[in-house]
Amino acid sequence: MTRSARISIFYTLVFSVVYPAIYALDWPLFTYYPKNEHFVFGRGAASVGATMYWYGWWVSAGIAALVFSVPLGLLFSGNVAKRVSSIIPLAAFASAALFVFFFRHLLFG
Amino acid sequence: MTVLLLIVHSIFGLIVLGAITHQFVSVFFPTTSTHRNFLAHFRSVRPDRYTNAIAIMFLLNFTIGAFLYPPYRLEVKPSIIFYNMHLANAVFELKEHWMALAFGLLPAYVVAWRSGEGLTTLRKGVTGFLMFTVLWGFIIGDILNNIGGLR
Repeated sequence: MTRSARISIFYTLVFSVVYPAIYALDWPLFTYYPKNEHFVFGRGAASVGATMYWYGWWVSAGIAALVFSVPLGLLFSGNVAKRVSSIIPLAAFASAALFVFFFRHLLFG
Repeated sequence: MTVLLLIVHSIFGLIVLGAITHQFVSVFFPTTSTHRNFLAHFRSVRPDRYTNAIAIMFLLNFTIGAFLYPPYRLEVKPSIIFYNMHLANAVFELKEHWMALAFGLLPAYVVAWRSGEGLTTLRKGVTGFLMFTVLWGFIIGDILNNIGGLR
């Protein structure tokens, strides 16, 4: 397995785990205010107007996944990456299910 | 401009959904019969050939969706909240987060299909997840547009 393939596998695994955590902890890298097309670093105040954290959440998760996956991909062999790859679907579906839990009050009243 | 982007977003979504459906059924329900009816032909495609097209189209459509999100936030979401349509709000929230998860899944998806390492579990799992999220995104996007309507 190539180095980039190993990094890709660890990237996906870390992203699947980190993204719901970043959402739950509310750690967007930046906040976007669509009305005046303005960006603020970190979590901007919601009182200013319509606020969008989604871009900031997934950029935060993307950076965190990159920071962890590069050393992991360089450190571990292809066999380890291959074994790790089989838990990625489980991690992805578990993360998706976590969001159902996060929005349970809106979904189920 | 928003309406044009929305139409392109829908068409690209349909293309990704069609391609991922072919890949999904050929992986989970491979054809075994020699009887060549329509369904057998539908299942007997070479799924690896779809990988690059799906990944590129998904990325393109994800980007278009990211551009369409601010108008949705300003025009559609306030009316959904005003009319207490909590379920509609929640299913769109799920769409945006599941799409972000699918975006993060793309590197492993490409590796699963292109590495030739026999990553069967990964291949089935990520294809299933992509199929599920793309289908959800397509249906929910359509419903929300029918409710709110971007202009």
